[in-house]
Amino acid sequence: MSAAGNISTQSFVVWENAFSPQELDAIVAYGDRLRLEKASVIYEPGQGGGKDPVRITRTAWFPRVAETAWIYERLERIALALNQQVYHYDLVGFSDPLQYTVYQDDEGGFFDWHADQLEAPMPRKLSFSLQLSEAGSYEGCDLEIFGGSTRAPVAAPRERGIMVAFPSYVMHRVTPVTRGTRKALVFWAAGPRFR
Amino acid sequence: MTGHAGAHYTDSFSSLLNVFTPEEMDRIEAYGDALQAQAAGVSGVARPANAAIRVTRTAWIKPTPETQWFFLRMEQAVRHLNAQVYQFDLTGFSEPFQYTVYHAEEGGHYDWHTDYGRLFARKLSFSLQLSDPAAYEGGELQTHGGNEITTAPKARGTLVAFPSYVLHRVTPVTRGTRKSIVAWTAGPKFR
Repeated sequence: MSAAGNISTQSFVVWENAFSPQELDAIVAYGDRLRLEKASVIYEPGQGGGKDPVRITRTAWFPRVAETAWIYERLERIALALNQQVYHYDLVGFSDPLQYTVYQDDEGGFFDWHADQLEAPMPRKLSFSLQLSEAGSYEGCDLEIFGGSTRAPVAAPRERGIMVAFPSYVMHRVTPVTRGTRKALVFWAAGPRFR
Repeated sequence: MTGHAGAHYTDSFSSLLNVFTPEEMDRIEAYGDALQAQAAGVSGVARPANAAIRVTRTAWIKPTPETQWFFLRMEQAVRHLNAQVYQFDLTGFSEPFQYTVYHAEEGGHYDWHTDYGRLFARKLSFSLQLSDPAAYEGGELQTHGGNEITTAPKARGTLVAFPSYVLHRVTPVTRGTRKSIVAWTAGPKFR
């Protein structure tokens, strides 16, 4: 396990092998048993965006229960280590339950440019995405991140088991999935406002 | 589930109107033009390998006895905005002020970028609108955050501020010339 990437040149850091392949299977199996709801984000009229959807995905929230405790504990440990190594933010914990996110080609799953900052109850400060699908099992659906000192968006690694972290103010998107299905576990760490 | 398209308060910019009188704006503009005339042969057009990204003319305004009043007033405005909106730990301006000119005939523009995480620990970025909005077309300062592209107010004398991590651009100037003063404040890394 290690954090790679340089905060001064890159807008995200990468954590490899957070889970074994068997553990990733268990996470996917758990997520697939949950009732997935269609998540969509629509521009509000008058905010300059018309009414085009900016997000088509299916999501479910992992409750923190005995069956998922090991996932939470592992991710908390990694988030803490990553923050100590790279970001040094004041954090108090995860802002929400873990979000299981599924992009399907038959509904043209995607998520347009956005940032994750939210105020309540505490600002989201670090965003995380764990790749759950084999890179070759889908096409498109790249997580692209645009921030730091890069002059253009950079695509995150696709390998299964890779976890990507970036400040929640950084713009990012998921390009449309053109074949297959991409699954990811998304979560956020929160803390007092940046200062 | 319906998500939130709403903007976070730091996803875009804040602004302060009439930071300077028209006469003071004239003084600043004249000072910048004189600097730029001097530096024209040296700095010229910023058109190296990154011309696709940025085409501007720039000159640096440094704190001197002649410019001290300008720095003090900018500092007051910055303190006010930071106290009202951001409450960031700031230590001061990170660099001299940048006098920046976008000419239509050169296709002056600056594509999407952020100011954070480069040479200096820039935390808050500022742009003082020096040109009358009628003097140019295009040349809009825009931020891209929280699902939205927002255009900054163009009125002469408006100081626009945004966190340096926010994506922003200046759209191509299609007629006339847009002049602005760009400044950045520094401080300990965000935490």
